[in-house]
Amino acid sequence: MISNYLKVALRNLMRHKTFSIVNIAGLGIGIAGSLLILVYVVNQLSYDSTQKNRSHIVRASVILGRGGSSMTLAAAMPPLGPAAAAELPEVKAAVRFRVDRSAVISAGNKEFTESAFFFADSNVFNVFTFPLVSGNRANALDDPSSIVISQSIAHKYFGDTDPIGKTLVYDKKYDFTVTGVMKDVPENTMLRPEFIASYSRAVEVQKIENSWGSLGADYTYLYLRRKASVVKLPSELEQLFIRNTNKTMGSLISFTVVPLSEIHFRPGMMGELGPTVNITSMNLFSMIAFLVLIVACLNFINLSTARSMQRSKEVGLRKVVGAGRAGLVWQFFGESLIVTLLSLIIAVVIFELIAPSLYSFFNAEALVRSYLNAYSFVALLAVVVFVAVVAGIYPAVFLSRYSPVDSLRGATTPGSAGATLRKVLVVAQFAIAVFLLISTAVIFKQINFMRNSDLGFKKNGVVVLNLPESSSAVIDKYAVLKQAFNLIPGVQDVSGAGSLPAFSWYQVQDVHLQGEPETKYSMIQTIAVDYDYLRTLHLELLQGRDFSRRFPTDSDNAILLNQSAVQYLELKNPIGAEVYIPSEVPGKSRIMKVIGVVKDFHVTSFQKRMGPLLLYMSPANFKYIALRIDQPQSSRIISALRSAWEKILPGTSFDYSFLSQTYDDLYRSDDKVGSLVSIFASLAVLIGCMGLFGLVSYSVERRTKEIGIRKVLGASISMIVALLSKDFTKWVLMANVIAWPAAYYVTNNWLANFAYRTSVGIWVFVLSGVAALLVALVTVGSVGIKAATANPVEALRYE
Amino acid sequence: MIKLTAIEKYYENRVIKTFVLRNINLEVKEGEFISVMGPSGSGKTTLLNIIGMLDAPSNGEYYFFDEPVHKMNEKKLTELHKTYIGFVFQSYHLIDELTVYENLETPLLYQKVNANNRKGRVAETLDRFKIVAKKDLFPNQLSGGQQQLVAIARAVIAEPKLILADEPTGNLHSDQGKEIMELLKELNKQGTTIIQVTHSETNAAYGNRIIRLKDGWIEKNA
Repeated sequence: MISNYLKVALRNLMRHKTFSIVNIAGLGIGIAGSLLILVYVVNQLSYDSTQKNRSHIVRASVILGRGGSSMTLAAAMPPLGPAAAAELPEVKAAVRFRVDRSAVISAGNKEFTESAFFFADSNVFNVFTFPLVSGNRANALDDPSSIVISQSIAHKYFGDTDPIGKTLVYDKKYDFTVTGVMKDVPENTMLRPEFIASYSRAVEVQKIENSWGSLGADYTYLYLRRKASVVKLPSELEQLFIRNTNKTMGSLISFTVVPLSEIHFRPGMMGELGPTVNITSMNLFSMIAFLVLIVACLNFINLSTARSMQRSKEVGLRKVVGAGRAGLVWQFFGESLIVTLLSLIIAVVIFELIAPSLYSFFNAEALVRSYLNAYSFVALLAVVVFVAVVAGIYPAVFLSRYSPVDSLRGATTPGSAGATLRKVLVVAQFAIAVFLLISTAVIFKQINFMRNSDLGFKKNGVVVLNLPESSSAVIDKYAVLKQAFNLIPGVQDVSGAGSLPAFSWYQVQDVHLQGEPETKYSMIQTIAVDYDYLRTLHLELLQGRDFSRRFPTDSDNAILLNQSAVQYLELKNPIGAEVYIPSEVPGKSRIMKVIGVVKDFHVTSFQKRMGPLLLYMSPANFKYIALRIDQPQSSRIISALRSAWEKILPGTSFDYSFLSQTYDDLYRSDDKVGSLVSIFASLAVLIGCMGLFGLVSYSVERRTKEIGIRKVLGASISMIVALLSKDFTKWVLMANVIAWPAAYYVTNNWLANFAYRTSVGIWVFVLSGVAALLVALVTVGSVGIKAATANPVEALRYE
Repeated sequence: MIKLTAIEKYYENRVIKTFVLRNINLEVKEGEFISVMGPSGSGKTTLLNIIGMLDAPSNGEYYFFDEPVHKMNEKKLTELHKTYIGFVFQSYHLIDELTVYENLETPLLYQKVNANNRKGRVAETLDRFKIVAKKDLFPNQLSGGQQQLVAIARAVIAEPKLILADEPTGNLHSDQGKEIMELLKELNKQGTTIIQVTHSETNAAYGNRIIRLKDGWIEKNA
């Protein structure tokens, strides 16, 4: 019986080749597309899932400032963890991590610079799941000079010999003894140590001051008791901070806690440990995956039902020779399963071809190796069953209901039944396609807007050099460096900088205006700059003057504000206003005078509003040197810079970057979202058109006789093409009506992520709609013309 | 074998009731060869479909081997018609995607005949109808007469007690038609009851009784 069904199914597929190819390929492409996204999303969602205690671990982070100009640091201050563990009842334990991203490690004659050197409190292995393959979990880090390394690190330094008891030298000075080897940490984790040394040693090695004022280096994880509430934790941490510091400035510092499993989805924290993704993007991707699959399924159902209506005769016959309803349902259901499986094969082939490049695009190469895990297998199976059921059930149930008398007599015109359903399906498909087209257009419009807007500075032609970790030696050499750089032909301006647009790490300062009550503090981001900062970046001065060597006091007590800061501080006459800057160190509090106002410029991405900013002169805080250079000569200039650098700061590394690149990186993730949506929008349109092509071919086949008669009666080719296109045009237009409001809503939501954004614009809708219509008409027309130019005699001979 | 009492068949919409069959009383004994005749639209095919349990009467009673067909559910009907009844149509109605062999096999599949038995019966039938050479061809590779031959072979392969033939020669030219009629006659001699619908007096003469229908009424039963 089954072989009989199978034969009929396969012969049917072979006989209607175009139909079958369109149907199977369409579904295959759809499954492949949604699978590609699904695997990526599932992988992202599985971040940190190897941590067994993840539902009880949160990370405490510091928020500096309040309201618009606040920012969140991923890490906290050294005493916070121990204090929280000691004083807060819901905290069972606290683990602090410190990371050295460029640790020079040596063992014997091997020396490497390591980027994942962690210091951690000794209870780390009780709280976190880092399984040890050798060594004792309970006391591995008890000795301050002990260290646990990963398996691959053990192999890298000690080969096949047992690393336990061996010595690793940190920074050429400090000896550590290996007390344990842990399994390599999987790639989908935020916390990926390769070395874990004892935190107590870090105090000595990194000269940690156990102060509530030292911010932003201690990643503090709190292990909570079961059923502990996370809601009150931030305010409790704040109370803790105030209790321990007796500071009223506690009002400028607050805390937030993020559950371990959510850290990966909280972008925007300063000094984050690993890559983060935007949960909105994840939702968007999941939605697109789902939509593409739906389009493919609709297509499949549509084509299947259209064709199965032609098989009413077969159904009738089978009933006459004794088939029951159940048998027929199973037959059609089985056929849909066969086609789905064929599609799946195509999908897997496409997946294999595309996955490597797609995932490297997302910097998720590791996925390529791991996509065939249990998750994706289940997902695959779910997809097949879902599609087979959805696509098979309608024809199965509908056809098996036919009365054999009707179907044999031809009383039911094949195709007339289910026509409404097919219309609805085509409309739905095109609605989704148009929706995705509009979304693509809006995303690219926003990206364009960000690229072409006035940033307030000129990003092209600026080279940025990283100064080595600020030590007095480097600061002393800054002036020498600057002088040397200025002598290089093609270098136009040179300025030291505490920060630059698109570079993270701003300092935040509490300030208050002279004459105002002591209690009224305001938080302002500050950047340490040099005389030529404005000229180097081409910042626009709106009022007053730039820092100038003609005024010797500028280097001590002059500041520039940006427009937002002027508004924020409510200054009517900013020039000459005096700002009081308190300091914890006695005698260091200062009164600064505003000498000029700078036009607002984008220091971060367009997602964030340009906040209040204060520029002051302080070489001690420089982290970078920015140079405006003559762009065409950049390679020559950079090698000149390098040789000057190596003369003045021998033994330090010369790291340079271009400001324009760093800035463009800010919207790289938006770029990716855009490309992805555009790929899948085209996919949806393609599948939609394949469906349309199939349907038109089918309707032409069904109307061969009608077309023949019309031609005999004198209809022209264009009239016949118009006749065939009329319905489809109507449907695509209807699809637009549905897609527009949905797209308007969703794109506006997405744009709301940006503080500076483009408008959606009616033409985006119109163009997307017209594009979909054109593609549909070309599809319909190509089939229609073929039918219309056929010899009518041929068409009528069938009778 | 068959007893129809006061069978009526009508189609109704909101305004009119269109009668196809009216007050049909008919008895058919096993071994008869009946020809149903009448002008177009007189209800011949509908009568045949009702007897074949492909269609249900609007009113009246239908007993098949003394069992009340008009009271049966679909499952029982399917069971009954697939065991006892074979159909032959004017336009042959073979499954286009299946070969001659597979077309013959299909009724046996639905009767859950096991594979060996099936092979044997198909081979036997192919031989009996002298179409062994055609067994791997598809219907569209055969002439009309050959297709009808296969259709009849398919109708008899399940060894039905009753064969219902709806203008079996209607699409064939006279030589082919004659051959088919001889075949039916032969089957009847071997004991199969046959009811055929026909326009042709010549073909009707093959039977031993003619029922004439007009506007849904039995005009003559002799």
